Amino acid sequence: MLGIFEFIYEMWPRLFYHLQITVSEIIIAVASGALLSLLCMLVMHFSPLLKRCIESSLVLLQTIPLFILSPLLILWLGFSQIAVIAPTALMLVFPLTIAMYKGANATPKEYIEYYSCLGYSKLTLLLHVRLPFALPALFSGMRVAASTATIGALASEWAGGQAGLGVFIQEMRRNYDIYGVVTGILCTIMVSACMYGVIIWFEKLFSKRYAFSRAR
Amino acid sequence: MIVYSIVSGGFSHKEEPLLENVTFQLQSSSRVVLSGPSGIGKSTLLQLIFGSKTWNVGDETRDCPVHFQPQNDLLFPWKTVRENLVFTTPPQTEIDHYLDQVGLAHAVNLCPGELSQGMKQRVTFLRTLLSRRPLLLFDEPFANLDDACTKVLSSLLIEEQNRVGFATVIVTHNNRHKELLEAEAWAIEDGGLRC
Repeated sequence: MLGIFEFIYEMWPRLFYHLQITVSEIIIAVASGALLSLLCMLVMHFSPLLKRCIESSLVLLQTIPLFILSPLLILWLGFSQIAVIAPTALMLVFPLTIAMYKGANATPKEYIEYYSCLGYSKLTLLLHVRLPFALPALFSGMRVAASTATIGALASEWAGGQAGLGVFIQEMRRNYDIYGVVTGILCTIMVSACMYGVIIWFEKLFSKRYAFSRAR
Repeated sequence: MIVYSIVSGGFSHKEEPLLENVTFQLQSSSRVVLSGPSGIGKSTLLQLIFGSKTWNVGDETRDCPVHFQPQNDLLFPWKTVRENLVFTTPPQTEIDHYLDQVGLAHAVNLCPGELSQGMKQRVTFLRTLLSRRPLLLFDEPFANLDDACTKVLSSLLIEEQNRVGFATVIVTHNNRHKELLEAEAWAIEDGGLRC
């Protein structure tokens, strides 16, 4: 145990460099995955025909182990963080879109009937009625996304990254440095837990503002 | 003049015919109390006129926009009382003035979860009253209110109706409300509306 602390002390600048790269990749991937999912949800909400296309595409996408796209993206785009961020973001689109769509449709029927009879447009209903009611489901999806994003980022780094915790663990493994590997794993767990904590903090914030009880 | 009619119309509940052909005309400041035994279709009729329920068959004619106070409040749980009213009332409405009149001045910034049933009912009453639509439908608007509150709300309704000019149909079980509202009486009999 003491050896790990010694290792962290000695290797801190290098470890921090890889850590910050992984964290930035996860944050960008979660943000872009959430935006893409919101877009998919909006299209699915407004077009029943496109809903079927998107649903089938997402199921197909989910069957591909997306981190294997990393080497391909490197060949196409050259070495860049996009090769890690893009597969990670795509991994989140399926659970987030489904959570958002199901959440938006979980609005009590009476609210939709009442406010649409009062003449509010589909867009107003979506923004003012459906989305606030979808927040609990959305945050359940975000919790899943937070842990998936860490796994996705590490696997993508492993498959084709230039830096990040995935690369760090791989380097340490090649050197048969057991402290290095354990440190890398501990950092990964810490990043995953922090991401989960951030989502819980946001959920707490929104649950107060939008008066819903948080799932435990 | 407000005209509503459903020709060759019918509405069934669980395959039991409940309502058929309904036609009425209302002057622009008419006040009507609709009464009758429980389960006869009073609330259903209001929902059919409002549009949240649809007739199984028939040609419907409704020549003006309608607002409706349902029995369940349907307030947004995340909006305060003022925000809920701002969402549904026309701009420039003096919401605080009306909230003060119904004794809710202290509850302006509270959310529905912090209100009693009676307070929620007063908010939903104002939501409908302040909509400024030509026909307002109220389903048991005084069900959770004490006598004093009922008197305040009835006077406000009469006052606003005389000032702005809109027609109202109010479902109630209490005969005293008819006298309080100085309203004419309608009833549902044998699946039809008796005006």
